[in-house]
Amino acid sequence: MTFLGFPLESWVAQLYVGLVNGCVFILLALGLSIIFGLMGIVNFAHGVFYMLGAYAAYSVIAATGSYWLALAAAPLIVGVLGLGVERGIIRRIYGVKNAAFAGVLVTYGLSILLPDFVRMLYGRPGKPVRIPPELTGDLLTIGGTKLGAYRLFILIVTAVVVPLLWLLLNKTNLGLVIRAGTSDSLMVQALGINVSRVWTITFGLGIALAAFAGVVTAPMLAVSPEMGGTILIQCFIVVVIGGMGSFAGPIVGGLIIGQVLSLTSMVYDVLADVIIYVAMAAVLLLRPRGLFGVEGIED
Amino acid sequence: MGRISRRTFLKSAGVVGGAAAVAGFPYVNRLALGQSKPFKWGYISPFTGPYATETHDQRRGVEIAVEEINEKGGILGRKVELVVRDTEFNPAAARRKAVELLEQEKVDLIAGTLSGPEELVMNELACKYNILFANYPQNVVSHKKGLVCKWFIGSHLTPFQSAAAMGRYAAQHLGKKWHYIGDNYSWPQLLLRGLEKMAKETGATLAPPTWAPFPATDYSQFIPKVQAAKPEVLFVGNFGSPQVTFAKQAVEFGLKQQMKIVVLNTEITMAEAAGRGVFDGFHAGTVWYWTLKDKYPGAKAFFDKFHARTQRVPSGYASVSYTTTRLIADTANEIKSADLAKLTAALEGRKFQYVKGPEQIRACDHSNIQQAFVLRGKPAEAMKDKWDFFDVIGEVGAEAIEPCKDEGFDEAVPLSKT
Repeated sequence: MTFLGFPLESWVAQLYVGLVNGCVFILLALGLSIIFGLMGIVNFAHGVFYMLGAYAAYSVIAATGSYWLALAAAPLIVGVLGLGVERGIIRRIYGVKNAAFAGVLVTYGLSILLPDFVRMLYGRPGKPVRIPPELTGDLLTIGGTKLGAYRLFILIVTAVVVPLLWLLLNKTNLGLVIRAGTSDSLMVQALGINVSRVWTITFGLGIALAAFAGVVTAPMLAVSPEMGGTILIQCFIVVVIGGMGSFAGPIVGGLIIGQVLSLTSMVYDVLADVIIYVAMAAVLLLRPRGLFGVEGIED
Repeated sequence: MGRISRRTFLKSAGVVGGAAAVAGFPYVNRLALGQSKPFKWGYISPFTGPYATETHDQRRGVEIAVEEINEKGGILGRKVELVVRDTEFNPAAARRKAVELLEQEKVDLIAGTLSGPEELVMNELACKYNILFANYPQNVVSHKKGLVCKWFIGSHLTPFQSAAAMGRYAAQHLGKKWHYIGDNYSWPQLLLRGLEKMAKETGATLAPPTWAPFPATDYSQFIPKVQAAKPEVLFVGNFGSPQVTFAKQAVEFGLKQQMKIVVLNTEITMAEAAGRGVFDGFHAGTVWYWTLKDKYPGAKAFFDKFHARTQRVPSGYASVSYTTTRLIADTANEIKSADLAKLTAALEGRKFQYVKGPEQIRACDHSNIQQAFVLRGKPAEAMKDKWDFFDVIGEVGAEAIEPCKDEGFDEAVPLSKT
């Protein structure tokens, strides 16, 4: 049985690939959305921290031989770097006139600066990161496409990380403060809460998520200083479609963009790089705040 | 406060006066040193972006050539000075910076690029500014009469040479049911045209291609489509980081077990970034491979210099930029002129040999007629050292190139006379 010239099994494989790619978008876009939601900063350096996650994983694997250690350590290392960046650089723009624009400029500057540091430290050629031996096997073959264990691992990891993050933001005191700070940081400060520390933690958390996405994608993609560029644009689109500042937005947006990219690649590949912009325009026409946009956030 | 002695005063005055003379009268100073105006080699290439690694290798090739040229007295006694610009992997930025090189730096020629769109921009500017353009990467310009500027000089293979070399090899050794996946821009599109011709010539069937957006960061969404086509041979038209990603995903999705993979143009930098054994079983075309040092003395000399400088082995892109830079300088010195028309005419039809077998600039379209090599990736356990990614298993000569007449050129008329 075929549909649009492709056998049914190929469609199933395509949906599976789209689902896994959507998971990567979710991990990356959640960090972007959290940073924007709380701090109002459009983090143009998010893709760079994703890249740093992949390089940190490479370093940990090179030193220890363990991908699993890298999976835990790389987000921590890059997350701590994120804390330092917030304390040393981002903090200086809070309260300045036109802070949102300043945030764009500062993070854009970081997105140029940090890859050069990586080039100086690691050299020009990309770095090899392999799928861990435990996950190199195939789960099943659909329509000739081998669905490897590693892609299932990404699905499972996302399915674990996302609820944990939701619990952190919705069921803990820290989450309560973060959410309150999102709505009215002045009022939270007036209640005697150290909002500044919360911002630092939030930025570090968002960066750690980006780095985590970098670690999980490193075995499947070229690890190079430029790897964060295109995916950052795709993640902005995910966040815009899902809605700025909402938790559900990046999840739904990520799943939509994953499938839109995947299915278009099969049906009409030359449109694959254009279609996500069309999808974004369509969503914005119908819902200017995105699918789950929170009222007032974009102001 | 101590008194200044007459001797101290005279010494100080001498030093200050000498310094002022050197700084204040540079013209006189230069004449005194016997130096003339440097020959400005305007070098512009994408040092950022997905081809950045290969571009840096290309630069090292140019630097080694310039060093050698200057050691031998430069070009017509003028020291060659590299003036470098980054195109940022953006044709608009490439145009802006090339114009800067031409109008502000007043360079004597332009050289470089590592992507089709930038190549086309430089080719256009070469004609507009009447200046020689040494094009280092695969030549996407010399395939159509009216497109190529007469001041354009090709260095690398053309996409037709690569497609012909690998297409003929595949038809003979790997299978005749073909599919092609490429990044959607000018160079991979020309590779496809070359493959279409090869399919006709060899009786192979070529299914409709799969195009990935350029620069591709992920091929996973295209792989089920490729697998649905069930080809015997999958040709791949990409480069740099995209090729690394493709190779990793081909392994991950089991493509290597299902079909023969033929990468139309590769470099050691990509095999290195993908990791040991990832290219195992891949067939790939290339313009030069570092083990040629064991066959050609020129390759050995170049290899040694490159390795001493970087502790790495050179890629083909380094060898090509080295060769063309040397070629132009040596030709100018031989004819004792850097005049654009005279130098171009002297380059047309010129035969030369630096780091591999004999090469020639074809007069009718300024393509470089040269060997192409067929590589096969080695398994990790068979690698003798960290650079031993491929075996050279074949060599294709001038017969692979498209005849000039097929693209509308008059074979008998040199391009500079058109």
